[in-house]
Amino acid sequence: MPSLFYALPLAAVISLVYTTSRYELPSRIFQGASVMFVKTLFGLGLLYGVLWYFSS
Amino acid sequence: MRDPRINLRSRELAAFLAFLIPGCGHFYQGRRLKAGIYFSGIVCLFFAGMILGDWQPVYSQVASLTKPGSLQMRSSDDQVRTNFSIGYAAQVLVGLPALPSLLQQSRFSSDPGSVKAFDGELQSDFVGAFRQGNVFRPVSGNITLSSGQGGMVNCSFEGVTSDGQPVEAGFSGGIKLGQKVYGSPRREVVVSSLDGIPVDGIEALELRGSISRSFSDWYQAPRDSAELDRLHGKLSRQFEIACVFTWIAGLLNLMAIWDAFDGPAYGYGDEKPEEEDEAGSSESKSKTSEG
Repeated sequence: MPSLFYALPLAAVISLVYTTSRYELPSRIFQGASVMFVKTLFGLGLLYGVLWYFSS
Repeated sequence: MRDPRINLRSRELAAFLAFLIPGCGHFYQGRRLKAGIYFSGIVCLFFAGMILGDWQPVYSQVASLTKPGSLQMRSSDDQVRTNFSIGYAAQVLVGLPALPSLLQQSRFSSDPGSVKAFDGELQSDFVGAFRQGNVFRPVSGNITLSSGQGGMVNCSFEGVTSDGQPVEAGFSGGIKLGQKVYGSPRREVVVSSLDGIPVDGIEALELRGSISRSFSDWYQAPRDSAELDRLHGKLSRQFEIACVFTWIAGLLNLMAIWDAFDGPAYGYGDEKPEEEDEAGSSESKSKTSEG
């Protein structure tokens, strides 16, 4: 499995646990975790794209 | 200011329980959803790392001998140098799943080293080679060792050579068995024969290789750089990813412990932004008027 795929479950767990530690309300937790997960993947994708561009 | 809707009960006990088992402190406080999230997320991440790393990414120490040679086969007089594993500082935060490493550290430090005699019988799979001088015949199979007279052992081997030829050998000789507690599933063994052992065209004087080590003797036990090199060679990047998973699981539990002790960092979650701004501005106005 390509190493980058391990980032998906890792980002999901980090987003969920981190947001759980910030709030108490379940809806706020899941909403915040979803947003953080998407932002994390977007940031990782952007970084990977930059690295790929400069390494090719 | 803590939200009165959140009953933290005994904060110290909740934090300690959260350390021992992720989510347990929150379960004690009645915050069941958070307990479930912490437990499933952190424990799954930790054990995903353990599975990826062949159950070997958690160790508290890396040991080394002060002279060249195999750490497993050291004598009781050899000096062992140990260095604390920095990654363990994060892994230990997961609590009970990572604490066996500290027990293994204690057992490792009191282990006298290689064994040259034993009582009873030992049966195991074997991977290694028969040796005559610089000539080796690689073999794999099953080995049976039993105590003999005068400190000797009776050795019985049954297996195949590297090109599939069946091999059987039975002989008596001296034994050197790697130390009991060490962070590798394989335990080194050398059985030396006084007479030659006819094996595949040679008169071997030694059977050298490794047998299985008991799980309780290698799980989370200290190891040396040779074993780490073997793991990196076998698993490549997967071992690094496994270690990272276990480190992050520990660091996430640190946030869970904090939540159990002091409640959620940002509040309950249903505060309105306008009320928060007004509360902030009224506090700053009262501070300037007092000044």
